Amino acid sequence: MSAPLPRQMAGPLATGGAASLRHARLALPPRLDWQQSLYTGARLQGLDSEAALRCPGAPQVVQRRHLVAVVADSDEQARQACSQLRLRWSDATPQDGTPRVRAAQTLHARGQDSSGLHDITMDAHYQWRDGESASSTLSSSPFPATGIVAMASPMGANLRLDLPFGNPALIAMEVAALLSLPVAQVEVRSHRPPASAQERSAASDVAGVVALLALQCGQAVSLVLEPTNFASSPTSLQLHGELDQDGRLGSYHLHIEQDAPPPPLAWLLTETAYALEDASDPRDGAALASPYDWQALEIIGPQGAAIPLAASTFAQEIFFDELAQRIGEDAVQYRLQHLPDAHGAALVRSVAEGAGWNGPARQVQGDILRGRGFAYASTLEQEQGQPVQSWSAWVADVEYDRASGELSVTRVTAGHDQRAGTTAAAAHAADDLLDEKQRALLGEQARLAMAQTLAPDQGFDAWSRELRPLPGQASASLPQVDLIDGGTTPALRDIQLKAGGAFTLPAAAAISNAIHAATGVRLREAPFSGEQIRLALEHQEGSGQRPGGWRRLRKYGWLGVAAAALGATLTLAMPWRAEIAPVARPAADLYSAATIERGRRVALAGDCAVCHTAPGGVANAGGHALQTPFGTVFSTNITPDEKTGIGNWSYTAFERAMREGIHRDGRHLYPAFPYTAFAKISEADMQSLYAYLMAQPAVSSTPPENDLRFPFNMRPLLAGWNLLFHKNEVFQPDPDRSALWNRGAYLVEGAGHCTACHSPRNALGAEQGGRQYLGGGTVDGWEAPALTALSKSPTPWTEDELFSYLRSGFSDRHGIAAGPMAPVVAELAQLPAGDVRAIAHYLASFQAPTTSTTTPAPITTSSLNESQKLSQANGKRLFQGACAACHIEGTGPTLFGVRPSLRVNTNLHSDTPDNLIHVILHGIREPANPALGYMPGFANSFSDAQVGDLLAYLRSEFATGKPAWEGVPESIARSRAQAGH
Amino acid sequence: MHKQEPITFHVNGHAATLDIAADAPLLNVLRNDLCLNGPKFGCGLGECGACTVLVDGVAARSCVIPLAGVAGRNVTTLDGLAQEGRLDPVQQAFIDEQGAQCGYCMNGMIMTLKALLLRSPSPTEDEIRSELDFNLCRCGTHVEIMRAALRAVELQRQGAAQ
Repeated sequence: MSAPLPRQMAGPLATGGAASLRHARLALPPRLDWQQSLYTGARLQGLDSEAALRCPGAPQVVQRRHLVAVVADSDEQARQACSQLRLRWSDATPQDGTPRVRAAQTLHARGQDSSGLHDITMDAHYQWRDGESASSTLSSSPFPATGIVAMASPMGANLRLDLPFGNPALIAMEVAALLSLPVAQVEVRSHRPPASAQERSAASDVAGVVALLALQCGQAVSLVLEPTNFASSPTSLQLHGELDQDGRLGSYHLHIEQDAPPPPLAWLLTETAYALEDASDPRDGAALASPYDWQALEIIGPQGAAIPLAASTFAQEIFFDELAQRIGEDAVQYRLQHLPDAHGAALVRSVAEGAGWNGPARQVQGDILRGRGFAYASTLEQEQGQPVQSWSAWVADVEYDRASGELSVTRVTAGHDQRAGTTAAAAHAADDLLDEKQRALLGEQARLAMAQTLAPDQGFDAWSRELRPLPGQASASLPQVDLIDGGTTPALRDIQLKAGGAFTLPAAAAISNAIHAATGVRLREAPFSGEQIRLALEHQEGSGQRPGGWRRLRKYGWLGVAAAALGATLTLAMPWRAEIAPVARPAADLYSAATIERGRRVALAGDCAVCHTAPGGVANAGGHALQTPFGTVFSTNITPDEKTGIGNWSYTAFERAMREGIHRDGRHLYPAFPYTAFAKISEADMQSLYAYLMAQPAVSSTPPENDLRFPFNMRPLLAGWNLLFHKNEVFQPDPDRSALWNRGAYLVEGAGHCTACHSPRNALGAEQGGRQYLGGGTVDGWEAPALTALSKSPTPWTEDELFSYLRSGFSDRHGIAAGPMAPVVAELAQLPAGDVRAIAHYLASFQAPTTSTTTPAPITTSSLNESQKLSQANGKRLFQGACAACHIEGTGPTLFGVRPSLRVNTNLHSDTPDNLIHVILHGIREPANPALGYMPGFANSFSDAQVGDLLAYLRSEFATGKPAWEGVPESIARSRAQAGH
Repeated sequence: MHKQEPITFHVNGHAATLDIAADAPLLNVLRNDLCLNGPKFGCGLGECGACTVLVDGVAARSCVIPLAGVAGRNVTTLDGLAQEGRLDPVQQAFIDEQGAQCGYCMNGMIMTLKALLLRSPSPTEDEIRSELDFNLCRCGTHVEIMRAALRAVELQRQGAAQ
């Protein structure tokens, strides 16, 4: 509590300020795309704003070309109205054959061009989509998950813009040009300069839109813009090489086409010509050049575009492989013959040796095709003011399964080296080898690079990129990386480790070359997927699928599962488990920002902080009391404190606890900790979660001892419980269902552990499955309603209703998230919308298609006795006095927050009045989202009899046809004894 | 609730940053910490409306909203209704029609009506009645209050026409 404010504060606060501020939300097209500065994304074809305009907050719809926004009195109202817009978008403008005109120039040339004088010529075309630009900003400054807020206020003839970051002069110029205002009339104030190219463009995006809206509305407007996902246009590379008959290298041409970065959003969507020059640094052409001894070499590229090195390495290293293949040379030998750089050649040799290189190593085993590929890169770049040369060589082994179409990298051998400028190599010292931490980091970088190359995201544990770019979409099949040490000086290596440098440049080409070795298919566009190979193979063979292969694979698969289950059973049944030795807490910088961010999402999906934080306590420090039928269990401290938390837990110990419910010291944990669900979490997610928890601040805090009745306080008994009720298996997607459904199932059954509350438990506290799966349960005295067709809700849940409820905490056809569900929704609100959508999609699949509920005969007033009639009449008066201001139907004031209709509220239709009693007595003090509003608790102003009367009235009035509740006084007493949630 | 940051919100157009418990009722914060005594304490349960303020232009019962609920929002109290020394048409109308007897409910009547006029500039008499239905007046001044409300609509219309 601060010191009391000086009284004079009342002076300025008591007078009205400037004209009221309005809030805007933008309805973005489903696909944003551009070529040069032309918009080629989805085009607006129809706009029906009728439903949006009926929303509260005096919404106003602004539209200019493809820019559609809603302006309302509050941000929530704008967002709500925006979601009610009915927009029809065309699919994209197809590539209509208009040639792209680009200004090209020679970026680099050496040697005397002797084109056409050689015996062998080869041409090939490659494409590269850059994932790197997204990941590079991740470590510097991630966008706030909630988006960027900017404000624009018309002040007389002037327009004032307030931005969180941005370059004021540049933005003033941009906005003036967009709105045809003199620059002097645009005043831009920004909190700080942009920290990255991404921030620079985001500031321009938000500034242009908010300025346009403020001018259109003639009023101050505040806009929240969530980070946009542009479908970036690929870098296109055309290669031409000439050789003589002996394989000597002759002329070489590399032609690169790359679009400039997109113009800011407002220009793009309104199709306004953007004339300002982009100021990004063009790449030095020499850095893009092939490292081999071509007699003549020429690189042609666009002016002013920063061409990713990864793109040129990708194209040139595959091209070189194709050349070697063409003249029948070994890929590594041919490179060594033509690599003038002795240091690079030494690295190539040691990596080839380390990998046991012996050609493409093609192997066919049933449907499994194996092969290996090689790629090399060297670059010269400025790092912290000094020129740094780096070398990198990769051997990748891949496996392609013709039956399942799955592509995986099974092994990578990678080597790298780095030197400052041209100084001679430092002597190799014994302590100059990579240490554990550096190996781990390089290994992670390598896996990230591969994950970006391999394809996109269909796995059940792939987190969508909506909030922040998340490069770590590693699939579980990524291999360990064998690192070959090139002998870098330690100081430089640190730079390398931080910057990423050239180490991962050859990854994509090495994988592509390996895919060619395995399958004979050349993939010249990255990223690639098993699907691309399948299509190419089908094209080659002209034959369809081979169902026989499937069956064989399935059979082996079953054997494997049976063996694993047996092993698991033996381990689980052991009542005493070994302690896992404590370790030092992992260094804070061991894990990348991407891994930690991924772990943060797993933690949000798992609501760790909801149970592991005591009321009023520090996040994750434990001490929250969980009431179970067997006594009280207190949650533990999961901050990385070494004494009282999990700071000295190794990953092995953490994973055992999460999957098997065993404390690091070997004790069994109570299944109040839902390890039965967490066992389903994928390996990659589990590791990220560990990384995230270990990166949090350590808090010293010891929670109270559990208070459980005999015999439930005997932990070894849990071994038997586990044997009966726990299956330690990672989630397996159902191949017959969609990716969205599987993603939802993974989140619901795994990290989300929804069944922990929403499935009924048996007498021993184990969740019931089958028809009872998600059939409703109780937690902390609250009823967790059924999420399946067993739902008591008077209107069936749809996917959209579920999405809205889980995202905002409110569905106008079902009610509001309260009690223990409120913090769950608050955590879900921070997850990418796509993941919440997946949960909604999965849960909606359990809803009965039609409502054929057997409604009991309506209870008519005449069948009530006198005391029941009196009770209802009293309840009605209480309702009029205490509840009606917010809950009356049809009339009454419009008040802040939502106005939940009681008629469709699930709690009034339930078999038990518990949730309703909790809310009446304790109110809603911490809603899932403040915009929902608050409800006071009436525990101190209503007697038990009054609560009973109110319940009698509410049930008869709003759940027509349902019988009166029984056991109401007992429920009220229980709820009074319990603090509000 | 976790250890919290100071909470910033806008009151009558000015930013206020307060390091006060996030669950303190907004009404107490306005009256005790910011010395804005327009809103009154009546029932403390959101039933009578005496504490009404505007949150983002919508009527809100400040006794049941904790401070955390208005973080980042615009709060307008009766004290901030006058602009540049000129009373709001709603305030003027209540003076003109002598809408107050004891005056305790007056803040709620004025602010609720102001919220209605912000969203619907020319409401019907029925709409006004429905809006003010749950603002309680114990003196029985309802007739004067209704007259004042209708006059407020008229004054606002004239103001807009000028």
